[in-house]
Amino acid sequence: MADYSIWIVEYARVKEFPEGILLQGHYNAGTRVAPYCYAVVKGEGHVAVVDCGFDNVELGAELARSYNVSDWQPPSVVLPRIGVDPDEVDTMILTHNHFDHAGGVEFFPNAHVYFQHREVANYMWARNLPERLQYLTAATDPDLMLWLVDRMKQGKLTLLEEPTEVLPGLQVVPAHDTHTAGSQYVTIENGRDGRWLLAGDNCYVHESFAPAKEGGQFVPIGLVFGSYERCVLTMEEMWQWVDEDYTRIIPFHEEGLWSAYPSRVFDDTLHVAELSLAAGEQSRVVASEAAA
Amino acid sequence: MSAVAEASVRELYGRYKHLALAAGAALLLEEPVDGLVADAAALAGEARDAAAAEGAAHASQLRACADAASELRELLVRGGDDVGAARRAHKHLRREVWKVVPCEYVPCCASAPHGREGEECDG
Repeated sequence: MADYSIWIVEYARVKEFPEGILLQGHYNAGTRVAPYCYAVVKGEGHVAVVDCGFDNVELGAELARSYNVSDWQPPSVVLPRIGVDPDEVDTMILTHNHFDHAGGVEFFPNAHVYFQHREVANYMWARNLPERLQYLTAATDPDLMLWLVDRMKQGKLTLLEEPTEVLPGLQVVPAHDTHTAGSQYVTIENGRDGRWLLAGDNCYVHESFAPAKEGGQFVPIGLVFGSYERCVLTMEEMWQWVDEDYTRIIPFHEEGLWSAYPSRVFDDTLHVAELSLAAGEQSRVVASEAAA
Repeated sequence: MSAVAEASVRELYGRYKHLALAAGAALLLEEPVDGLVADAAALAGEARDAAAAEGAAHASQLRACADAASELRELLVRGGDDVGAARRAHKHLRREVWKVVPCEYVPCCASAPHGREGEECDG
């Protein structure tokens, strides 16, 4: 069985994120803190990131200003906190093409990129849509496509169409027509401590799943470019995979990560959560535990 | 600033953006690009003509659109080799467009154009 260390690294946050985007139907429910995170998976001779944040210049800076994103730090600051250099990252899985998940690709020059074929093909379909339908592609920027072309020319891009094991025990699973046309999520069978699922934006917070534990319903995300039917059925797929233990599903905008798992807060107020430690690895969050 | 000129920028930029997404996708999927090459050339020509016709109002935006469409065409003709010029032209166009039309990203409130000092986007 594979043996990975898994960390969730916070690189920015929105202090007043609308509840209605995090959870469908929570209209007029105010705001909460929403961290912006990506995952680092290290082991089996690889260092992988699941998503990559954004670069706080040009498009990233404009959108950060629009969404009131604060406390941004680049990978060169947040990854050394877990003993990782961005240049070491050899695998990058992009859950979907939104700026806060795929806008930092250039920080990882040596990574082989895994992306959904469906996310790309959707742009061919959308080519001749009239202006009035531009919502369907409005949250995407062509620059990532051009960057991916360059990456393909270097032989460092794989477009996936079906569930695929890209590293030992680490599988990328399509979630088509959910949050975006070609979303995907990541499952890890970790020999040391069982199953983990890195959700991307297929759920934003654990409250999407929590009601089901008490016999209630899933609450899907509130920002969907695909269909709610596919969102809910994908949530069921994820729920089954973790055997209904939704604490094994990791959303990247969940403020509760820092209390649910061993974590550490740094001087700039950003956090790291340590989900799992491979054999021989030192904890990166012990300072916080000692302080507590 | 005329509403007609702003609509022209918005329309041409919208067409460019869809074309650029499709161009990247076609290269990634190794799909035929002949139609995209023709569309990019046509868009570059229209944007150039519009820049000349509009006078100074939004000429820099329209010229940026023409340049970005031209670079996209060249990239398609080259089969995707050397994306640098197309990326630079795209980024320049984006900066120019946001000076005069609102951010098209969702769920931005889009009430204030990016690049206009003193206005805040509260979404």
